Amino acid sequence: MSAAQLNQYLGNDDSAMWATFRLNGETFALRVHDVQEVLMHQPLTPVPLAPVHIIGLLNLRGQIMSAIDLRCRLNFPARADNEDTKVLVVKGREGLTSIVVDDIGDVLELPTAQWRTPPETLAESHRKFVFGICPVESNMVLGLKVDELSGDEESPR
Amino acid sequence: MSAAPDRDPETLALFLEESQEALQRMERLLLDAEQGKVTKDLMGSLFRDIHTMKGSASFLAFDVTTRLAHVTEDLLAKLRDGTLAAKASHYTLVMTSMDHLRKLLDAIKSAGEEPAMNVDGLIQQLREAQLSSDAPSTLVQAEPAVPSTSSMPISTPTPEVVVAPKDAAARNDEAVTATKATNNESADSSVRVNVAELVLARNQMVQIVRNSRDTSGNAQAACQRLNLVTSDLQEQVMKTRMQPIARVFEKIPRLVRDLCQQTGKHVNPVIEGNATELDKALVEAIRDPVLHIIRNALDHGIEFSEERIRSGKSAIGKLLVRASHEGGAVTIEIKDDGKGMDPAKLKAHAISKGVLNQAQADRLSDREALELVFKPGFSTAAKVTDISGRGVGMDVVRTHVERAGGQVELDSIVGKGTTIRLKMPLTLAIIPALLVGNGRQRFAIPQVNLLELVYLDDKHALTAIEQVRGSYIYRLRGEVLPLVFLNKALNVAATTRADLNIVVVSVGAKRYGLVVDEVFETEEIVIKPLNGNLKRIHAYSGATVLGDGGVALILEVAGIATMAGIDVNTRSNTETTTIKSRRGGGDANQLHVVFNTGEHGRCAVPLSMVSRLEQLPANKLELVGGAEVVQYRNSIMPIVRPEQVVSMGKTRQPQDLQTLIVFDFGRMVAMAVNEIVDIVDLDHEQMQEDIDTQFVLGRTVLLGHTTMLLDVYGIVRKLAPQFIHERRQVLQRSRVLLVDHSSAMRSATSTYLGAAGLSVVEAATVSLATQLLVSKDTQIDALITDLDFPDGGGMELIAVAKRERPDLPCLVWSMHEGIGIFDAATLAGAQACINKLSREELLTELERAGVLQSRRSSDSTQLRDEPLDRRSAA
Repeated sequence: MSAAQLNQYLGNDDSAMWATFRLNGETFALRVHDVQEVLMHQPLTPVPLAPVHIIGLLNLRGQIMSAIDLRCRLNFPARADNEDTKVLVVKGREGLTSIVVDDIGDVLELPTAQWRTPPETLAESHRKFVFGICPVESNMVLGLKVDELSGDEESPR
Repeated sequence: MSAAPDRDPETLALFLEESQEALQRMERLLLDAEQGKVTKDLMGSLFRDIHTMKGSASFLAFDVTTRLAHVTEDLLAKLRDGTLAAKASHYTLVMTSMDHLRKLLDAIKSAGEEPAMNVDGLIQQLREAQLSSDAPSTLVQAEPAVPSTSSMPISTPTPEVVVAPKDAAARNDEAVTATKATNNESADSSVRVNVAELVLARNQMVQIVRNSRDTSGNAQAACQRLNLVTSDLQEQVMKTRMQPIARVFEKIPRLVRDLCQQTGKHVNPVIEGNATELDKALVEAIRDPVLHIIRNALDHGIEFSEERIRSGKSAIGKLLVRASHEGGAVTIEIKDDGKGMDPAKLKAHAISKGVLNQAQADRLSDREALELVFKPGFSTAAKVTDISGRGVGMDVVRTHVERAGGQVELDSIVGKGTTIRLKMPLTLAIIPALLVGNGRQRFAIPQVNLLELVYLDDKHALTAIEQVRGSYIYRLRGEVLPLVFLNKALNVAATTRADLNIVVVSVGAKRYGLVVDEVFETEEIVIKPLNGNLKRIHAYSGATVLGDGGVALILEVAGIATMAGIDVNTRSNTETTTIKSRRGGGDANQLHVVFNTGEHGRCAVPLSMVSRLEQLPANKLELVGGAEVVQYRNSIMPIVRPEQVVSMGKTRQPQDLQTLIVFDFGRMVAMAVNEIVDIVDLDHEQMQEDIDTQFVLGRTVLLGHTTMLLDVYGIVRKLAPQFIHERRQVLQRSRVLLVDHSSAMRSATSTYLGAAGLSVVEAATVSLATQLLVSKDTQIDALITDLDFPDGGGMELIAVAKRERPDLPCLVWSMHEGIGIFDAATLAGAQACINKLSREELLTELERAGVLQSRRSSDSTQLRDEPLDRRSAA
């Protein structure tokens, strides 16, 4: 990915606020303005025939949106049934979508200059969804492409 | 531009509305005139319209409009008076003028001011046309500023309208007005959304109250009120949004005419179903797709006259545009008799466009090849942006239609023509739907797709369905019904239930049975679209939030049929007719279940009274204390047989399965019959009243047999009195005398009153009612009467009642709307006058009269199946 493409995801601010969350021990981030709210574990209505990463429908105050299991999307091992989850409501290209994650992290200010294009060694399953990485202390934060998460290019059946 | 005078906004709005109507009307008349249907009236009408427009425009100081209207009026006046011989070019010129007038009006509407449009060239042409009868056509060519319509379709951007560049301030004004218009539209849609949300909240409330242990009834009363008000509001909002499809269709003749002029083809458009109404937003949504399809039909479908004649067709092409209601949907059919689409050519074109490769193309069936036109990139258009331009692909048509909740179907036969069908929902947002359960999940099936419910218990589930060539079928009254198991269709785990719930659904003319685990109640649901990936799953048309806050997917029965391999496009003729008879009909018609019973009895009962149709093993029927009963859903259901009270020969004992018609009067009661024949529309007008036979309301010939319409309530009252008594203890035994000349109305009303727990004595005439009132031994607690009878008036009857039984509450139940009549009735002693359309009010007045003490909550939707305990709780 070129630097120009990286900038497309970073926007024009020199430093922006990022909402981070945990998934399979790794830290991911979405821009704060792409996240509408964070919910506790939610009851979901399963949708038969839906692509595997859509684990159900969620009723947010009368608005119905699909819930995407990010573990599944990123090819991580499934979590145990009894594990607690959090739900991020994100504003994507097609309206609101919710993504199910392991836990919520801090909101961080990550200067644009510190973002790097993802390394070539990034897992194939990540490459489509990760636009860049940003070092924070000794860790790496992986920045996600919000619109790709709900992406509908995958065949449902 | 004239100095803007202070215009009264109301007058301005009126002027715009009037003028736009006038233009619409003039266009129609001009098209007629062009086809030689010139009459004095027609020309007179044209002249009057333009004259009025000119007058109003001049009053409001719209100079350009006035000048253009004036010179057009002059031309029309000459044509009307015959001082100028009419020529086609004259009409073309008038139409061009009307196009400009329309643009002026549009501009005035959005900006509030007339744009500086250059119409001098056109005015010049109109003037010169009046001088000599052969000048115009050459002039049209010679004047580049205003080309005639023959060189440009109305849909393309219109270069001849020279709107002088305004100063920045004026442009800002325009922007502001445009925003305002958008705001209005969004306010409009937000009203709709809010009503939809209100309905959801209401549903939730009803459910909470139903499940609560509130014994005082306060919550229930409040909830019922909320229920009624919401339904009312919903209905009204929906009604105000309905618009005739004519708003789109009226543009067609002109479009066809222009395209014909432009291409040199000859096409005769036939338009049907102008009055078909659908939601305003949907009318807007189909406008572009419909016009686009027509443009396509003329461009690519219909051939030139010579070519048509060569292939043995009439020289003039046919284009049929028809809108009709089909179930709860509107179908718009656009049919041409042109050359049709050649699958081979479509494939070749698709390959050349890079939509698919040769190998892929070879694998496509002809039918699939037709679908290629819906592929993005198939169209010849360089840029796929909006639909209004020419050459834009059918993929955009499909996107637009589907976005509005509709469907596009395409049929084409090479050499014969192409038919495109758009199926649109009637309204957006709120629909009644049946909730069904599969596994641990609930799904909603739109009521428009529902025909009936069939329940087979565990013993018969296995024997009643058959396997034919790998798929399951069920014989429903002799008709083979293919079955689709919802769990298989949705690829979810099978359940271990042994009994079967079959939901008989229709897709166009095709029927099939959807097997589900459980059938719950009907609920008004708000359709919420699914996004992204989920939209592509053909099994669902959306999702909804239920009364309990849960989410249910809305099943798309057509999609499920296709997925299950049922061909929904094949229609057999006989089927189509029966479906039509099921579907058609206004208020006078009502669906009835027709069945055989006894040795030779052919009877009917209104479907609206029927809770469900069942088949149970005959040996499950038991005799308890001399009365037949059956155990049904954890309670004992009494069984009645019509032949026990109406002479139809002896009861025929079934071999194995007993067919039951289950009624729900708050408690279930079943009528045992030989077999169900059909469900048909019964026209009450054609029914002969039967006053001699007890328990028979009327007779008519249906499907070739004399059929008796049974008085279900009377029969149940007679044969299962213990069931009635139980109710009376709760509801106080009251009896009303219902006097109405129309047997249909009597039957409907007494069913309704019966369901509310009242006993009803019916009389068709004033004399009979008078007898009943005079003979003191008939218990009557209230009188409900219409006003007009062949042998007297309701007023006299009220007078008799007041004389004989001074304390008897009298209610007038009539379609009359005159306040004078109602006043007179009140003076005569009537407690209230109720319009026959507001049945709820009738119950309210009966409550007020002390005849009816408590009422069970009446849901606005028809409950087909609801567990007993929940119903009787109210």
